[in-house]
Formats: sequence, structure tokens, C-alpha cells
Amino acid sequence: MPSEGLRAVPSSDWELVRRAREGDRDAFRELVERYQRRVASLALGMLRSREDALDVVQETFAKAYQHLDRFKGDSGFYTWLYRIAFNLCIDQQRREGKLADLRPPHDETGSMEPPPTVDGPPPDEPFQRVRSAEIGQRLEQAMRELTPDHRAVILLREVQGLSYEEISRVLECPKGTVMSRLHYARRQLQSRLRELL
Amino acid sequence: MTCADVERLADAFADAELPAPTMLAVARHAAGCSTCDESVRRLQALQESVAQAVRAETDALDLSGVWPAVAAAADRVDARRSWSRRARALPAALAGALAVAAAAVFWMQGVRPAVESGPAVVVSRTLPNQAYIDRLAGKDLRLRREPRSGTTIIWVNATAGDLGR
Ligand SMILES: [Zn+2]
Repeated sequence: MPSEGLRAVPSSDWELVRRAREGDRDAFRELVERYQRRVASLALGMLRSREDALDVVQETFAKAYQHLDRFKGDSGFYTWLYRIAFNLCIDQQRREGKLADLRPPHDETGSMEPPPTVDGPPPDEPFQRVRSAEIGQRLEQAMRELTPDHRAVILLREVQGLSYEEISRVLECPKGTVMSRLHYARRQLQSRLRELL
Repeated sequence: MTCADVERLADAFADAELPAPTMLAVARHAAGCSTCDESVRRLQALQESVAQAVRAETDALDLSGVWPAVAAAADRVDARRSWSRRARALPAALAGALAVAAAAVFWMQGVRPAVESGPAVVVSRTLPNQAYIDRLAGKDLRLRREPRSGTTIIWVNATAGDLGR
């Protein structure tokens, strides 16, 4: 039935934003639940601390709620959210005086776990490689050594799957800068993982 | 398409950010060139590794506290907004009342300029305008005279409807 089909379609971000602006708290909650994990992965990737990352996630949505009328809809809602989150991560690092962020990992954070096999690509994927805990650890260290801008571009591209255009909007820099940062960051990571990948 | 071209375009190729004909040209070259093929595969393996490592780490995060914290922050935002809306709505109604009250104060000062320091308890004086001040005072009116500047501050706690009467 077409009507059932229509009912099954989740509300668009824009529709939820519109309703949230009119005071519909459930609509805003839906946006939070839709994007909280993605924002968390950016924050955790940037800050390397679960506690700080959770703070940034909460603050990101609190800010988004406060300034919802500033979202013009000319880019994706998540792009707008990532920009808020990225700026909060930079503020957080600046506050703690560690923009270079070379601190040792928190105990609670631990190192990146090896990827779970259940979520991985099927074994016949052409690029499927044997991945070990060592890759995870080396990657963790290599990510730490990147500057926040290079780390952000890697996270936004590889983890969030944003296009160059979207990344340039989040980081507020030209697309060419995104490409050169991405190239540099990947070569840095590759040089750290040379024998493993 | 040369090996140098592929090297230059490898990132954009791995990200599918090239125009379709260029994507095809790189793919064709890589299919027949083991060096470029290896280079592209290594790039894609890196992408996979980063994505899976970060996702696995994020999946372990407990986000159950996010919404309650955001909802509490949203409540604070709403409360501030509601307060500032009331503050914006008040002046129009308040202005009339303040004008009347200020006129009364100036008139009183003309008659008796001895409202000098500290909270001036005007309503306790027996003055010709007593009844009028009392009526305003009934709506929770407070007067305070600033000794140095001579400014008189009047607080009126009343709704627009009350003031309109
Ligand atoms: Zn080649």
C-alpha cells in the first residue's frame, strides 16, 4: 500500500529541524539520536578521550538546539553538526593546551580495538586483508601524531564518508586544501603502517 | 594515463571524486599495471582500517546519557528565551506606567525635593498624590532614588493587562 510506504519513510533532517524550531522536542530528539554516534566518532577520533568526546557530543547538540535558526539548509544538517563538533574539539584541545595532542592514551580509552569481524566486509572482498591488533595500535599512534586538521580530514573522509565538498564546508577551507591535507595525512599513516598494509 | 598520473590521482580515485571518464582511465591503467594496482589497493586498505578501527571504538561508547543532558540544556535555552520574550513584551505596557509614575515622582520632587538617600518610601508620606501612589503601590511598585545621579528607579511588577486598566 502506498500510504504504508509513505509512513515508513523517516522524516528528513530538514523536516525535523523545522519541527524542532517550532518547539517539537521529540523532533530534536530524533535528530540527536540519528547523529549522536557519528558526532561521537568524530569527537573521539579527534580527542582520544571518551570523557571529552561525550562532553563534546552533548555540547554540540546543545549548541545546535540553541542556534537551530542559523541552520539555513544550504548544506546537510550533519555537515553543520560536524562543523560545530569540530570547532568544539579544537576549543577543547586549546583549553587543555594540547593542540599538538601527543598525550599518552587514557586508561579508559585504551587503544583502538581490532575491527570486529561481524561488521567487516565479507571475506571475498578484494581488499580484505588480515588485520591484527598491531594495525589498530599502530594506527592509533599514527593518528595521534597527525595535526588536528589532518586528523579531522581523515576522520571526515574515511569514517564519516563525506565528500571533499562537504569536508571543505565543515573545515571551512577550500576543496584543494582538503585534497592536499588528505594526501599528506594518508601518506603519513601509510609510512607508519608500511609493512602492515 | 601514465603511472605518474595515477599516482597524482590515486586519492581522488579511491574517494570516487574524479569525473567518470577519469575514473575509468585510472581503473584501466591499474588493471594492467601491478605497481599502480598495488598503490590503489594499499590506499583502500588504509581507508578500511581507519574506518573500522574508529567505528569499533565508537560503537563501544555508551551514549545513553547524551539525550538527557541535551534535553536539560535545551530546557535552559527555552527558559532563557521565554524570559527574554517576556522582557521584550513588557516595555510597551510598562512604558506607559513608568511615564505616569515618573511624572508623579517629578511632581513630588518639585513639591518636596527631600527624597534624598536610600530607598525612598514615598507611600509613607502624606502628600497630595498619596491616593495615586497607593494605587500603583498596590501593584507592587517600588521606588529607589540614586543619591549621586539623582535618578529615580521605579520597579513595577504588573502584567500588561493590569497596567492597561
Ligand atoms: Zn602504473
